[in-house]
Amino acid sequence: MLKAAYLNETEKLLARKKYLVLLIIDAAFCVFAALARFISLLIGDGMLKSASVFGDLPVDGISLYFLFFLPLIALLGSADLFGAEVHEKTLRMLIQRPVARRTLFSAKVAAIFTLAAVFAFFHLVVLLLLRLIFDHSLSGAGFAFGAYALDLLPVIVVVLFFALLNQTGAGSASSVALSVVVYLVVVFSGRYVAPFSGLVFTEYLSWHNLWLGSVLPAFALLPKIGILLGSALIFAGGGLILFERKEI
Amino acid sequence: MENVLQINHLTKKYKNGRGVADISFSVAEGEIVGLLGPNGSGKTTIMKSILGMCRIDSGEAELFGVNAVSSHEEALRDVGALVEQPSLYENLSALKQLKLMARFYPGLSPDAPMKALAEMGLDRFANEKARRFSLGMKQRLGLALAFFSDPRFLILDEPTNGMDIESSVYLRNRIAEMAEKAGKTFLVSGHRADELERLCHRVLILCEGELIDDVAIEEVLRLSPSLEDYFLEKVRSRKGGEI
Repeated sequence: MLKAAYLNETEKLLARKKYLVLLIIDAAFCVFAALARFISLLIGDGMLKSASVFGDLPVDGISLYFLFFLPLIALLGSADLFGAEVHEKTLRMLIQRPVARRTLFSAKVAAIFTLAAVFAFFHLVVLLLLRLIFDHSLSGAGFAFGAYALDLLPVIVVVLFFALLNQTGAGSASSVALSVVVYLVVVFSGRYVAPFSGLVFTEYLSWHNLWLGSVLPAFALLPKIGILLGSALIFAGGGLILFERKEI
Repeated sequence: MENVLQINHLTKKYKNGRGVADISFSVAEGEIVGLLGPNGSGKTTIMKSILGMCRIDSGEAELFGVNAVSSHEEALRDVGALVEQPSLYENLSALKQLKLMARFYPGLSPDAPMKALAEMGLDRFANEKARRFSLGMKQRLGLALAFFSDPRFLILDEPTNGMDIESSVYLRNRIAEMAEKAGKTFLVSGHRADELERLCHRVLILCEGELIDDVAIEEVLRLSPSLEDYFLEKVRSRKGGEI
């Protein structure tokens, strides 16, 4: 039943045109970034080498992308599959089928994560293509792929966080508003409030920094993995309990 | 005959005080049982409790001998339902909605969704999005979603709501035929006593969240000119002469 529910949830997300629009906007940003570098190369008039200008294109801005853009996708996905389904009462159609609520919850979370992964890899592929066009090179593509794959792991926590928040709102609009505010507070707290620094999951959305390049020793990685795992368990448990108790 | 549905001392109260209290009844295979009661008497609450849409305070509901709450997945394998207004994905086509739900029934024939649409007279609109449907068409799509998996037990909450006379009569005849020829079982709620009188074998009368009568239609018509008269008399005596 999990496979059936997962396929259904994914299809429902893909049927919404806004994600196609967001993919186009994402691609447009990538093109602008590449064009800006190309212009700087022209202005440099031979002083800059193409490889140095375009070499980090696929991973430049990855932190901001994973901190703000992908959470936005996860937030919209959660609002569509949790908030809107309750508000529009379509969840009834699912609940009266021979499928357990925990299966539905897991399928929805998996579908939202898949959506985020599709966006991340689309973003990477567009940037790699642009690098190929402007720099005629794909060196470092493996590193970039690894960085995106590693950075996607903490996105599961973000998806679970929004899944939990979407159980609390009265409607999809209020859920979105609440999610945006709480997420920004969490990001701000992690960055600028000393006691929370390093303790909130949003501080680990650039996960690849811990693993690629200079790898931290295991004893330094364990607490960070623990924080992410702990956050995931709290959000998943809380979200599932509220979803199981939801009356529709 | 085997009991398809068994409700024991079901209690469900909402924060506003409404709901149902200490409801017990059973529905045997092949029966068409009606739930009749004034607005807010608890008809829909009973149906929602059986289907797991709301949490039961106490008591239990069994479907085919399986606890509907603790074994939701197993209990609902052979159940189709339409509760309150149809809940549809407005941005998906009629056929797509059925195909999505068909995934939850392994072994179901691939043409079952289209057959269900044809039976409800919606095959011409299979690829139209639900948001373009009229109220009656949405109701028929909701019924197609309840029928398409060929369930043994159907729970229908005011199934003719929003439908024209022709469609209502067709549905009533179809339900009777399915019960008689295919041995399907139905729990049907309605606010029109004449409709339930024509359709049901037995009727459960609810008032203010309590089950005040469980009576065969034959018995009703032996005691009163119609189910409507019988119902009014029962509810009046319950409320001390007022409605």
